Amino acid sequence: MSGLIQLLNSHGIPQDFVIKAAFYFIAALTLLFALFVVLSRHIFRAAVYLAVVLTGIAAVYLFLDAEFLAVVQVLIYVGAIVVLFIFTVMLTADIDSGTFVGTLRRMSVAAVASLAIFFILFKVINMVTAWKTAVPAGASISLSQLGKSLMTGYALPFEVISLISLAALVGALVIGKAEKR
Amino acid sequence: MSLIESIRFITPEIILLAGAIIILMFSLFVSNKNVLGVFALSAIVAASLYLPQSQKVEPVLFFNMLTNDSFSLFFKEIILFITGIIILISIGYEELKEKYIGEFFFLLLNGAIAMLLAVSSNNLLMIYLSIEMLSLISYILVAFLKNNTLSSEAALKYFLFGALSTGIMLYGISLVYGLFGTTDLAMISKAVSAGQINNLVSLILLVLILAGLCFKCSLVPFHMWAPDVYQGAPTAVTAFLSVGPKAVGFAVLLRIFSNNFFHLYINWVTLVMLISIFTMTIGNVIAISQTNIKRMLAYSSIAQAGYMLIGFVVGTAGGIEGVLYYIFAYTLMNLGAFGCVILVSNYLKSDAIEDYAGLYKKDPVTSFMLSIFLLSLTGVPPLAGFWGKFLVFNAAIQSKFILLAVVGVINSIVAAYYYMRIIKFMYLEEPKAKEIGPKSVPLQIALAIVTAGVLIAGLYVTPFLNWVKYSQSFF
Repeated sequence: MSGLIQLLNSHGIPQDFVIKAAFYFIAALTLLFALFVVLSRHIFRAAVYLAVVLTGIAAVYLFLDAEFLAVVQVLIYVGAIVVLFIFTVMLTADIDSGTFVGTLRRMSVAAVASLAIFFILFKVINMVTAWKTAVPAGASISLSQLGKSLMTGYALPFEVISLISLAALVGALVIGKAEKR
Repeated sequence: MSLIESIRFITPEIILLAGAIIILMFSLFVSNKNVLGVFALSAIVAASLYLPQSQKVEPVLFFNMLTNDSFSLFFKEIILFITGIIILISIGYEELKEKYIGEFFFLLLNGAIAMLLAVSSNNLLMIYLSIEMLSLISYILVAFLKNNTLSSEAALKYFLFGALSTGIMLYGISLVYGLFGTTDLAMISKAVSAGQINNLVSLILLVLILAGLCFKCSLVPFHMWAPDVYQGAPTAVTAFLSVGPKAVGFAVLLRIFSNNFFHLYINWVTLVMLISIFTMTIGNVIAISQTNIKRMLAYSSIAQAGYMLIGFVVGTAGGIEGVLYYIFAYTLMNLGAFGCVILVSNYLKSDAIEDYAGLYKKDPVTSFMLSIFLLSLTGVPPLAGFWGKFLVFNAAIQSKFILLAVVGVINSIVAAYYYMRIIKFMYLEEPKAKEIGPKSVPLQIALAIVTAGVLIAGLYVTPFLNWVKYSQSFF
């Protein structure tokens, strides 16, 4: 990456421009695939498109200097959750044979509603210019700092999450276990 | 206070967790419902003995993740009471097979832990996590009769609605974090009272957070799941859902809005007033035409949440006292009503209102108790439900919310029709030829406790009023 930037710099193309161009390219790609997810007629394809979208979001995290989050995003969302989707689709008989087409009326209602919500939130986000972060923007957080806060300030939520997974595990077993006839 | 010192304050949660895990392991060898149920009950009793008393000085627990005020203590007591009664009810509920009963009590105790944490959380992250844990457990409990298609359908609907509203609430929390750089409610509260927030932005934030909590309290427009879920879920779980998550939702609502965001009162009061009016009216109007008693009680519980919301809209100390007393009374009478429904459905094998015809001749005790609960839900003096309504309507009139009080009273009159209809069926109609079977003892104990509660809290109201007066203070 840095070699590429040097090469571009030597040709008089500024670094800022490269980063911006890369960002817009990735953002556009993510949005395009997000549309594919919603409009796709096959649920299996939608799941694969979703993997691309989630990878794109991981790239956006990289632009925000949140490297750890980006890695986790790829590992958990792309690596585990999308794979889970695909497994579910494959294991559920006939789910892929039918096509999921919303009627035009439903789709337009959904589109209007989501566009309205988008514009309201967009306006709100634009109105406030002083968005804050817990650490100053641009400062990178080391893994050891993250680990320390999980063992101090965030110790209780961290433990509660383990309780949630325990309850979810037991619940999944109860619901998923096949009954003997 | 250090992390280790804080642990003392979550002793009840730890006791419940230990009890839950022991039950889970025991259920490998013991599948007797009574044994496991009694063990779960003793865990609840032990936990309530170890409830931390509220302190004079605010303790900083787990880096201010939790608080320990008299407000949270009030809700903790109610939650442990609810869970105890639900355990008694589930022991006597015949549709619940002995097969997965260990897992059932495990999940129920974990639900109690989630509720205890939610009402004492002082941080949006903790509130989100504990509410999410409670929701997750609720979805599983609704689907517990897994060979029953109604139960599975209800769980799926509940899950989809829940996921949507949680997503909306999480978005609101993320905006709060972006504005203030923290999820700690105490720090947010300071920044809000310093007036560092734009009005329109705050309105959007409040709407988003409100959406998630409206779902938990089944308030309009996030009430659509309630009838299907209440009807499809095992009735013991329905009883739990109609009081537990609702109490938690109101606790969190009061803590966030009436305490920390009170400086934004002007921004949210009109919106919440509209929600209250619509919740009361829609709940009552649709309840009239129901033929299934579980569905009718679902709409009735939507309407009841609307009355509670009146006290929340008023926002004064008197209003909050009214909400607390109402939640207490509502817990008693709704648990009782669903308990009676279970008792009757155990031998009638039906939840249709028509089948309650002439119940008085065959089962006078249950008909009498059910009548008391229904009269209390109507708000007939001197039962507990009357005082709940009286306190919130009174608070509304004193703070000049005349419209709210009028709508509330009109709705109570409308509601009287469908509550009385069941009493009419039980006492005045001719009975159908169906024999009553043996009645479960634990279920009858639970009903006796709750009936006594409704009567005592109605006739001898002063100590309970003092209790809610003491409990309405946050730190």
